[in-house]
Amino acid sequence: MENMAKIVFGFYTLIILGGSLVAVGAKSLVRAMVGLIATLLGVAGMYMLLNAQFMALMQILIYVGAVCVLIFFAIMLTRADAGGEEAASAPLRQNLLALTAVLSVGGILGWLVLTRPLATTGVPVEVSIEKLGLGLLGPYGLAFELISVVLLVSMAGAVLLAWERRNGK
Amino acid sequence: MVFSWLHLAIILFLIGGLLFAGGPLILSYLVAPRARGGDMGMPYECGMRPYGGSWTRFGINYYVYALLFLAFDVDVLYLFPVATVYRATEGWLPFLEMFIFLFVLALAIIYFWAKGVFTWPRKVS
Repeated sequence: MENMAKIVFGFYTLIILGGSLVAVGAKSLVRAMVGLIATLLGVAGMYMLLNAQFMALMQILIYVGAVCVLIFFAIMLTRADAGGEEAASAPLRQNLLALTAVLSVGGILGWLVLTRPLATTGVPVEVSIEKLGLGLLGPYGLAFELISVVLLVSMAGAVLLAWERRNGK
Repeated sequence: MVFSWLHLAIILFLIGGLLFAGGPLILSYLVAPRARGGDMGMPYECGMRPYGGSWTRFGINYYVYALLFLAFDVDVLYLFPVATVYRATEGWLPFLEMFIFLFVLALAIIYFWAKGVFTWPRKVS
């Protein structure tokens, strides 16, 4: 089973890297989003390997299910089809700056992980859903209530910003 | 890293799903007769020629529904663990916490109702 985990880890790494390359390099934005979905599914698989089944499920439910739908709506608001005005490729300088940003953040994080390993368990410990629920009802009760307020504010803000405009037209 | 039988089952079902979706495509590629030229690239090979591109733009109204869906989806993330242990809890405090959580969300729905988000626009701009 240990070898199997390593094979699956490599498989998910390939999915994440391949998906992100498609997401960055595809000409069509819809294809780029398919790459993004593949990446997010690969991350969900990584959560499974970390023994966090609930996180994996929620990764698929929220990111693949909801965020990608949201991005798809955003894409359909643009004029980014193959011959559209937003389909032109970015200038070289912008690409270089983006690459620098990725390499600096990734480099610092990778350097920290490699040089200062945390004392941790060899096998990830499973935190059950019951434990999470008891935590949300007990010690983190206030945070649980505040989450609903934050969500209320975000939803009301979205409606306030986007909905007024239709009536104004 | 942990690899359980459940994980293997999920991967097997994913492969099964991919084969189920991709199998007919591969099979039709192998078996179907080849044809070129004419209106093969058109959405419909007969009938009216489509006017304009296929890339239509939605109204921004739909974006609001997607945003609301996302917010309620995040609610599920927090409600799900609480709902699983709710049966095992004692006293009024868990009920009260759950009630406040759902009450605030209900406030959001009432606000949208008053705002007219749920009434379907007659003309979708």
